[in-house]
Amino acid sequence: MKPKCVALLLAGGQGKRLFPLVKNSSKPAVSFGGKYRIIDFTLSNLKNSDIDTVGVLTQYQPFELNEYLGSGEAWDLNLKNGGLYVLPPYTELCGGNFYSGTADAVYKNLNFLNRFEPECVLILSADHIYFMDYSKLIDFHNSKKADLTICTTQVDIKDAKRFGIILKDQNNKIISFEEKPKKPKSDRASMGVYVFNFRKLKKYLKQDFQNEKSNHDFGKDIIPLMLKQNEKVFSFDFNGYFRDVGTSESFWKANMDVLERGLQNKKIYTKNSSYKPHLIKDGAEISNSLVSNGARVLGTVKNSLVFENAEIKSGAEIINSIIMSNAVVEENARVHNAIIANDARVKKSTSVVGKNGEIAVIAANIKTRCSVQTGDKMPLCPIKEEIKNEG
Amino acid sequence: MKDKILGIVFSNIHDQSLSKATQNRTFAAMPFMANYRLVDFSLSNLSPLRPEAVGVITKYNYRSLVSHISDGAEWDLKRKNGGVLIISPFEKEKNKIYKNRLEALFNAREFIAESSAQTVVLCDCNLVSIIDLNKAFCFHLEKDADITLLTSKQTIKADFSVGTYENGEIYNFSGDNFYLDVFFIKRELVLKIIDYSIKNNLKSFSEDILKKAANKLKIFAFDVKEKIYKIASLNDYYSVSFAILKSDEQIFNNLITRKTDLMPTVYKQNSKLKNSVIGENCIIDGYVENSIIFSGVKIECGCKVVNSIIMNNCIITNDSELSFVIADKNLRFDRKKLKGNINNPLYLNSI
Repeated sequence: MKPKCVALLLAGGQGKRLFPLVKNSSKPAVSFGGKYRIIDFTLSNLKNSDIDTVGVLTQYQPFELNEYLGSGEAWDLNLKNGGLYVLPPYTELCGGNFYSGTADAVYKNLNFLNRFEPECVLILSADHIYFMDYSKLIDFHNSKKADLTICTTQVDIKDAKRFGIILKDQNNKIISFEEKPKKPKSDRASMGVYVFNFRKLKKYLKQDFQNEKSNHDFGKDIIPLMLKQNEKVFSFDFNGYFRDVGTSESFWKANMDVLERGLQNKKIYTKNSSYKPHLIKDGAEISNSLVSNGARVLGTVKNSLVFENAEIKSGAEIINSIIMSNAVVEENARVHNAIIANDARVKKSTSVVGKNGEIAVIAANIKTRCSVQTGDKMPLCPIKEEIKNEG
Repeated sequence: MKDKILGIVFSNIHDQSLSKATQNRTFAAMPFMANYRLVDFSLSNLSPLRPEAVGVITKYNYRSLVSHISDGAEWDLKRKNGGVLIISPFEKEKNKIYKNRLEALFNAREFIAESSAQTVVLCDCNLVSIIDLNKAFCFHLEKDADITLLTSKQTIKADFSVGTYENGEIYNFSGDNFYLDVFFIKRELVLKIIDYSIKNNLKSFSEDILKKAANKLKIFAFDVKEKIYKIASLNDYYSVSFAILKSDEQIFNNLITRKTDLMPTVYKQNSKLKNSVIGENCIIDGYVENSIIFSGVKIECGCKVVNSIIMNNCIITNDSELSFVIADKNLRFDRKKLKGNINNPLYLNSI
């Protein structure tokens, strides 16, 4: 039986602004919420929506992501018909290129989609944290007989510049779409979740591919082109929890949301990496925190998340922070308002402190030799420089 | 090239020793140390041998065991040929529900006969230890033994003990090497023993076979150096759990269990903890000291849990206080003050 809907996950982005956390892996494979990876949320949404044919487009540092995805078993996507497909860039007889934009990535995988001849194609980013039943979105798309349905959510008008902003009429038909506008016309932002009529998707991808001036991007090129040609483009209003985790501040905030709100009774599937229960030893003090399998806690942990197999040694003090998988905070060290990335180590009696509302980040696999705080020139923590470079 | 081996796990043999807790589960499926079940030790020990197949012999109440082992993939026992197989009772005229180890093996005769392995390793689920079975297997092959019994020099409760020559060969059935209910045996020999014992209506593997055939067979003992814990009663279950909590957490390093998709545990504002092992998906807002808390347990503010083992999904609410308690799954403690003592912890499976 052919699936009615095939999903494509764009998981190849570099996540520049999250640099210290994605040094050795792509953003979707970054651990999150104690025992999860960012991509688990999208894959679990798919499972919870009964969509079982999924292509994951990879590009940047794919090793860890590929290893993590495996056969897709963790999300029940190890199927004989359908299931999980990893779609890396490839070469052909006449050469080949990396994916040069989101639309280009999908264009290069039209063969994959053609095999299934779906009615519609669901295009998702693998780096957002949200809980959504896509079947409602697809029902909406079908009921409107739409060519394209864009999921939109309300954002703070101050942040609107960072998103694709839409204007719609009372029937939810989209009138205009602007990618990262300087002067946003509304606070309704695209979530990067699209349902395309497959026939129309093919048509516009081919058209876009011919255009040498195009960035080959859905937001910048495909959607404006479709609107210009009067295709039926609708907005599906999503009012639930939605977070982009593109920066270390938003990553920190989204993790704290897991601590405060839990997972909203949604089942999130993951490839668990530790079997051990966690241990709380004498001298430990824990309050308002989340602790994962395999962790060992001997120190103080407040308002924080401790990921799998992390270790908090005695006398250490963790406040408002995230200690990621396999990280170690040694004796009498202090970690406030900070993220300690995977496999990093905070040495004895040193401190890592985020000040003035900023989050200090210790990158993966790094050992702190001295105390650091935000605002310092931190060779360990190039995040500030990265943001500047990006402008 | 390494020789092929077949594994047999007896899941019900010791049910009686935990009789209160094995009403609805096999001994092997007894939950242990927050995330595990006792069978995890057998399977985690067998897994590095890369056995051709592992038969888990069951008798009754095996639902939770079957769902825990599933396809065996966690222990690398999901194989195209072989892998893990649950051998459930198969009643026919000659083949009654078994009462002892020999009859149980008869039930698994076909499974053993079909294999191409030269050696069979048989184990129970009452050992709480990670043992390097590869060493013992090499020893067994090197000595070309008919049977190699695993023994330990630690004084533990055992069916019998053996005395050995320097090369490990057994010369009598009393001595200071205590038998661990694990042994290697040639596959052809185990088939002969099954047929012989059914024909002659023999009851006990150790009494009727081992001890009587000692002079005809090459029986060796392999002395296991690893620290051994053995569970022979509910009190043992309690004391072994706390011995591991106190000093042997490295036992978890090579211990494999079934993974779950549960959320990590959340500690609320008023939680206070001392020296405890905690599973996943718990919500803890009370006082927990020196305890083992399984997944999904909720402990509300004002409640106290001390020196206790609280199994999956228990809810402890309204100023309840528990000490020296083993609470089985899914119980709700509402305004309960319950107390056992260290030598005789209070086991509860209903309230």
